Amino acid sequence: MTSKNKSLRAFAASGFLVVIALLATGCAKEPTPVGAKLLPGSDLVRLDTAEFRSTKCFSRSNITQTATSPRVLVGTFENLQSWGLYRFTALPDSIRTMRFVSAQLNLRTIYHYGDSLAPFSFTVHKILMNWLTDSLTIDSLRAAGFYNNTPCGSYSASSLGDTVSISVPLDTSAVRALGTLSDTTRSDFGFLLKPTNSRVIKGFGSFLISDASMIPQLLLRMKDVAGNIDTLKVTLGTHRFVTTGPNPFWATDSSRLYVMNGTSSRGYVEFDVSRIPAHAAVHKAILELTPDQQLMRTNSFTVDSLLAYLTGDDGTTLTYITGAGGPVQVGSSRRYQILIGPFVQRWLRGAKLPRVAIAGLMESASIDQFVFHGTSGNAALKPKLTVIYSLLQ
Amino acid sequence: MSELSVKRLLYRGVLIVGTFCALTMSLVAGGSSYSRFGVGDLKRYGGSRIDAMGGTGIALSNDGFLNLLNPAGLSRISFTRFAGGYEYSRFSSTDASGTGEFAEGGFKGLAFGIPISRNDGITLLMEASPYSTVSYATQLKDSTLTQDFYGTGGLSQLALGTSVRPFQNFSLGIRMNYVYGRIRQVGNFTFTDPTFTNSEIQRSDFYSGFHMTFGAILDSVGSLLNSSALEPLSIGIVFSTPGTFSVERESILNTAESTDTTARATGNADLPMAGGVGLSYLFAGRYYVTADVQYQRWADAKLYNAAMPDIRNSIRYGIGFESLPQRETDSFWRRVAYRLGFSYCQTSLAFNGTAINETFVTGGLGLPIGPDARLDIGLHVGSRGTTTNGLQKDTIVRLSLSLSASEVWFMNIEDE
Repeated sequence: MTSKNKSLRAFAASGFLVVIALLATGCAKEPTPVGAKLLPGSDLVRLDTAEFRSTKCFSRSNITQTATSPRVLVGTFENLQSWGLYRFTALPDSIRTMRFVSAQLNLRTIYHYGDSLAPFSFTVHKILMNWLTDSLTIDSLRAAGFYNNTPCGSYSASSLGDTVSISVPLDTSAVRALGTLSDTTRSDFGFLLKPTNSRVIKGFGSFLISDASMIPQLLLRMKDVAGNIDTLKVTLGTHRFVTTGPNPFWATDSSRLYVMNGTSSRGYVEFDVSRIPAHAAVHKAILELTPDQQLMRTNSFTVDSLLAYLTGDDGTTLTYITGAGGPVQVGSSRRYQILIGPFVQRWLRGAKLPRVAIAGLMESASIDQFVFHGTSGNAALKPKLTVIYSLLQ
Repeated sequence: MSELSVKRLLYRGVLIVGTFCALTMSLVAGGSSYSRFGVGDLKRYGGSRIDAMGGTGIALSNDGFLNLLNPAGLSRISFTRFAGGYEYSRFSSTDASGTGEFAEGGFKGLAFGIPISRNDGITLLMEASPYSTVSYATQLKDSTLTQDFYGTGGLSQLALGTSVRPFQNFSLGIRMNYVYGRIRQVGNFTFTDPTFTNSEIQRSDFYSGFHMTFGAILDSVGSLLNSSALEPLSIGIVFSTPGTFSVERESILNTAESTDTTARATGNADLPMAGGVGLSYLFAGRYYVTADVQYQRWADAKLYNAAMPDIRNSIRYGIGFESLPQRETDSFWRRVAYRLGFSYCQTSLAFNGTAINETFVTGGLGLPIGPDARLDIGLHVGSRGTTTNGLQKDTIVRLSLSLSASEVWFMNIEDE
């Protein structure tokens, strides 16, 4: 072997080592406790806690999307009324000429709000106008011409359980009127269930409920030319319920925060968190609300949890940034706590409106009345925000 | 055993040892938490020959060797020479919490020395080498929070220098150094309570700046003093000017919810002056004894106009020995250079009044692998720091490999 070859061989060997070494140095590091005590205190996270009381709170109505609810609420309790709407679809065109023997609306109870033993009654009216599932208010329902004032059916019971199937006989002429008039004129706008009771709101299964036995049903019996009885069951359709809306007094009452499921009221609280350094890392933020137990009304069928929504700089509710919480026992009192760390983090990062919108988790599916102490009341009961943060530069 | 067999054995041995060292880094890659401070662990690289001699060599100026400590030491280069190295370090760090084993490896430097005029000792130097490294991974954990800390990066140096020999036994050198690099530090905070949001802070500092290094070597001191006993004595001196780093800092805070640039700033950091004096004495024309003292004035150094905590002036003492290879022999082992050394360093770190000092024993071989090529192997074994006052003691083993060879480039016919 010549000396030149030997040199080349040495080069190759050294090069091989260097390449392997460079590759190996890319391995991940696994931290160990050794040496941690050397680190300066400024490297370590140090948690600070800051508490804030709300600077402003108010309540505001909101249109609730009850069309997605698994139940349709009908009834009256205290000052609140809920009207139900069912529209059956896929009715045959021939319905206008059928010879009906009977027609009935079959419903299944699954819920109540108020006095469970109180008498319950409602009337059924044919709806005369088209309606959408997302923008109906009580004023729309009450407007002249929305529904036929003459009931096409009614139901009344001295009390009604929560797992009971009921049948409401319907005027067959009203059912026949659901049939198609022409290719361009529709009249199948459904039925309105208008409460006539005073002390309870009942919930019936909607078209979206998962249990098929609880789905509302329009049961039609017809006689054909041979005199045979045919039966038609219609179980497809759309629904919603509409309530009489929040108490107008709530909007101006800053001593309380009113959050109501089903009735379109949300609470809003604001905080001034400017004393937290702008670049702090928020590890946890808890919004704590103290309920006014005298005014709280919750049903026993759905969870009494709350949702918090971040509010945009223009005041719109950003429903895609949420926090969730519910009741907890703090000492001897009951509080509602909602985690809103991401909200506070955004406020520190420059969001201009440090406001939280509070809604019920079951806002579109039940009726509950949450009332919390507000800003202008007892200071110790005001909405409280506790922020746990650290400051690392 | 024939010479060829010995060489094969050496090649294979080096290959196996080197591969093993490199692969073991996959166990736990990292270094000492001391590298968290200042600009990291300062790399003082004068070449593997110097490394193996206790880091001493300010007064060395031989042919066949690039002196990266002192630019005046380049003046006796006959042929274009390059040197490149790799270093594998293993740390066994001990503190009150236990012992951790870390390993890291990396490029140690690459240098070219190009003689322009052999008669005048004018040599051009181009060098790229690490200036400092930051490499640590440590963890603080309690029942509520786990804090992981990582540091990576470091500074590198690009240098351009030259030497001149105005008198037969007196050489001067100058080197312009551009020091630059990024140091990243990450803190990762994970809470046990899932309702807490975890966070991570990433700090990144980019340093860049220039400074100069001047050097001088006086050979054959005895001839100046009319003392034959001091004839083989050389004295070297080196001085690096203070410099100012420009530092660009950025801190980014990450949480599950947001990414926020919490700080972005530019400022300055001081690179303090450094100086050193060295002696070398050649016994019987074959045995070098060297001694160096080096000092760097870190205590006054500031970062963003603020004093850096836990930093003090550093001073380093070293002695070295080398048995030069015999050229006119057939024995392979006689053509090997044998080196030993010892060094003691008061590092630039001191915590709460407790100094962090280093002590190293060094050794190495210079293996001939060609007509004018050499594979230098250096081994450092030593310790740094103390476990008192809650501090950390590192036991450090460093294995360095470097290749040094020469080629005839850019020489005038007359010179050649």
